Amino acid sequence: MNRELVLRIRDLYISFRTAAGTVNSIRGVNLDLYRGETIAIVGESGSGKSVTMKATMGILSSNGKVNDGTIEFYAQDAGKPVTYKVLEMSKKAIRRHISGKRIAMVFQDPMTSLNPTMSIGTQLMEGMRHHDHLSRAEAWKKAVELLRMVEIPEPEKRMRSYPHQLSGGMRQRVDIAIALSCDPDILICDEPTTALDVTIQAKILELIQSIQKQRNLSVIYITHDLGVVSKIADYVSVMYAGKIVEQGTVNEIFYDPRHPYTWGLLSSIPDVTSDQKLFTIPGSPPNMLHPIRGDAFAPRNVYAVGMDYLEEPPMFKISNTHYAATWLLDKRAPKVAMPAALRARIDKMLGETVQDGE
Amino acid sequence: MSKYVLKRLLLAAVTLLIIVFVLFLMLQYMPGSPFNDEKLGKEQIETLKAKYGLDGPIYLRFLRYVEHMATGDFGLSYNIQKNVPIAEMIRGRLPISLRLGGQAVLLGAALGLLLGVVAALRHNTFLDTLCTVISVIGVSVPSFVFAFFLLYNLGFKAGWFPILYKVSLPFSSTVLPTLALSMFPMAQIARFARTEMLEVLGSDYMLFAESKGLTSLRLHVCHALRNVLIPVITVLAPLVVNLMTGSMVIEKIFSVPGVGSLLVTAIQSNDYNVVISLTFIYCVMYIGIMLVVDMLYGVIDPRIRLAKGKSHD
Amino acid sequence: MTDEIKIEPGHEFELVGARANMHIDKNYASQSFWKDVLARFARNKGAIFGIIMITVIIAFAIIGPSMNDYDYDNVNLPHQNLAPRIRGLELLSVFNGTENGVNRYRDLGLDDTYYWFGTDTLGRDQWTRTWEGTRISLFIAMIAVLIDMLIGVGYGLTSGYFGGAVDGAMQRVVEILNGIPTLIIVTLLMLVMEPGLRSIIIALMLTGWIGMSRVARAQVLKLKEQEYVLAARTLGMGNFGLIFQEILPNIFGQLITMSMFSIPSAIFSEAFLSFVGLGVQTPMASLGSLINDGYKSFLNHPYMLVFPAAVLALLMLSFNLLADGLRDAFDPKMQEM
Repeated sequence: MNRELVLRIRDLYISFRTAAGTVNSIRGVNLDLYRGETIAIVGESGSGKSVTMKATMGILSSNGKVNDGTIEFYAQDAGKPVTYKVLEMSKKAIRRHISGKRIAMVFQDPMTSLNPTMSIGTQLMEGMRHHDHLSRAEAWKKAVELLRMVEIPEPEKRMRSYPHQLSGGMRQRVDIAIALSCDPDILICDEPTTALDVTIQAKILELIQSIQKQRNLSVIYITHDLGVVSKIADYVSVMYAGKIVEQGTVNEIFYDPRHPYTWGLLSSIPDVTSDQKLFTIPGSPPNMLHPIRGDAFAPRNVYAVGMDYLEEPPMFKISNTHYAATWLLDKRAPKVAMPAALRARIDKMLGETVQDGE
Repeated sequence: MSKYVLKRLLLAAVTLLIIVFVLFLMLQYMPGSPFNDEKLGKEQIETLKAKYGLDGPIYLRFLRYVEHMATGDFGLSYNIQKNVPIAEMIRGRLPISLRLGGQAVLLGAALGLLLGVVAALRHNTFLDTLCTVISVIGVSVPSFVFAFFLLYNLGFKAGWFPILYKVSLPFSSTVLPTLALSMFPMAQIARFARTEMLEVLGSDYMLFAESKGLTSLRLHVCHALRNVLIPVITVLAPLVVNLMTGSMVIEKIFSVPGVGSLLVTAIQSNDYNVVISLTFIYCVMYIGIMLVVDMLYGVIDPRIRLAKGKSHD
Repeated sequence: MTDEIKIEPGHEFELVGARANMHIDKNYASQSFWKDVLARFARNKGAIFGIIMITVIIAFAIIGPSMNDYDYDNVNLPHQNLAPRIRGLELLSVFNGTENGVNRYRDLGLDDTYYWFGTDTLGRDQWTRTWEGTRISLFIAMIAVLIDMLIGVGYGLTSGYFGGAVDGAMQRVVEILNGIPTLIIVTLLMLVMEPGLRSIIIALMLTGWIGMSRVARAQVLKLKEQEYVLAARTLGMGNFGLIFQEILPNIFGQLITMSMFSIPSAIFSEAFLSFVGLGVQTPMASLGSLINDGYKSFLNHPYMLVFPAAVLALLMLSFNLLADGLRDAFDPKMQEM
């Protein structure tokens, strides 16, 4: 398999200075992204998903500091391979070479991501004119094409519209068009459908997928919605309290999860067909102001072992692509199986897939 | 949009009419009014009234009054310059006041915007604190205190600028009064610009624009500033009031022959005609400027301008 | 961290289970609303400066005039135009009684006389007059706030709470009143009435409440639809009760802030009117009238102007800082994270 590495994040540590103290937001994150593939980063609000990606693009807020780690982005510049060490680059250099041009981001809330005083056309064209030095006429043509590609009707007219004249779904499509305008290698989608209707959600997801296929884009999808993950991801990284606690292919995560947090997440997906109670993970995520000893998930972990409170679990290898950071995978730990309800659900799903396959 | 405009115009007209009505009543019934002067005998009052067309039934008088006001016939000055048409007095002075006020607004707006934006860009640094301090002082300390300060130090002691207005030095003799008058607008605009800029800088669309890899310059000027200017314009309207009162004091201090100092003199010498005429003029200006700012606001903000646009799905 | 788990060595891999309760309380310490407000206020250096200054000025206004033996209306022509002189502070050239190199105290043989802020053209002690004037300005400020609160808040609350036609009519009135610059109204009023303290207060009464009523109305509109108001209503609370027990306490912060802002505006209006000649009449002094008097001899005897102007400026500055601090304390905009 011809897998080309595009992005590599290693041992990323990020903290934020706040009025209340220092918040250790990211506590050691590793990530590998290959060309043409989609990684979904899953986690609760505040787990650090967006922060990691903002650091990759150099748009971390001013009170944030990267304390350790590397982010390397591998691209081609006129046929020759080039490595960008993002954390060592100046802000100016990042803006020139990476943001918008190589890595582009689509934000969560389409209602606020567009500048209300500038027309759609201007906002669409400015990236192209800046990075690719297109003339106004060329940029205009390409912009119209982009609008057509994201299925916005009457694209020429829309160029002169203002954001408030478009609905949420339309605005999100414009955001996607803007992100793709300079033909980036990586597209980061930060919960792009959370603020939209369910029906529009599906359309947007399809759109992103088809564009990805067309252009062989690598996509990082940040979401807390496992339903979305199952549809679009090749690989899944589950984040909790600033660390990745489990990662693997989408099948491995959905059919063979190993971390109790992942069990919790999967169990929380409402199941309309069963009549069981809605499951929730008890407690709330830790306050990152205080240093964390041991496994951050331990206080909420029904399957916690003593070690979870003493030392942080390392990533245990389950297969070449599947890793989980839980002491349950240690040889010395008791054999614990996933909750029965979850097992039943997974078996049912497997049964259905087998049936569909026949 | 036009419905918006019409509504504002209507409100302005009604307000103006009410003001004229109040002024009319005051002229008729005020204890110190020349038409109620105890010193004059009844016949003299009647003659006086006939002369000003103020005889006859009240609604007729009012209509005539409105007509006079509308055409700029403000009557004669009673005791400042006896029997001189007020309109003439005003005509000579109005341009000077307008010029002074205009200079103050321009200077204040330019400096204020600069100060506020820079403070926001260098948030939480010494520069930010300095700008904040300057703007708080500028907003709190009355303009006449600034006037005195400037007059004494730059005018009297240092002799850089003339301390009284001279027609022969139309520019340099307006420097000090313009500076004094512009302090409040500058400080107010600076405060506002800073708050707005900070809010804009933290907005989602700024982050999105930044993620596109645009240059700082483009981000700040094209994206941020545009959004900052819109609310700053709304601050301009109340500033007009401040300029009007400020000009009364500043013109008196620097002996500028404008409508402000005329009003002060008229008040002090009880020349009611002049006071009322000038009051009317001020109200007209105020209402007019508010109207213009309202319109401007509607023109510049595409959300208001295109409010009639249908939402597309 | 008293809920530490005791893990015995050798037993690390036994199931221990969740301690879900542990984190719920540790996560975010709760603080009462007012404590928060106070903490934020205390952190604001400008606001603290403002409050200290105001206290100092009020203190002087109260005890200042009695600190020396002169009255505010003691006309003493031979002592006219004397420069400020304070025993003990003579090293500071401001307070050594000389002006342009001339020490008129010595010339007149007044070695034992000290006028701390100097005298005016009629020989009256400026120190006493300045602080008397400050008393008047502060008095006006307090009345202004009171009126604002009563009329403004009452008007705004009623208008916002009842809504509909009542609101519409009341707001039309406000809009028209607003279309006339305040100082014009005040000026016209002053013409009709005799200038003096009483007329200033009446004038302020007619115009100062508009801003406050706007804020009150906006807040009421916001809170009117909240659920706790609905809950109280279903429990049978009448309109009056709802306004005063449910809504008012929640907009208290905003009201205090707005009233603090209206103080410098009232003080300025009085100073302005006095400067123009419409304020308090002699021999009574207010800061504005003192500035007006001082202005006449400004270039020759700047001290006559400087002290009342400085007090006025400090007073307004301090109240503005205080009001700013209050506003930020009640409604912080979190700029960082």
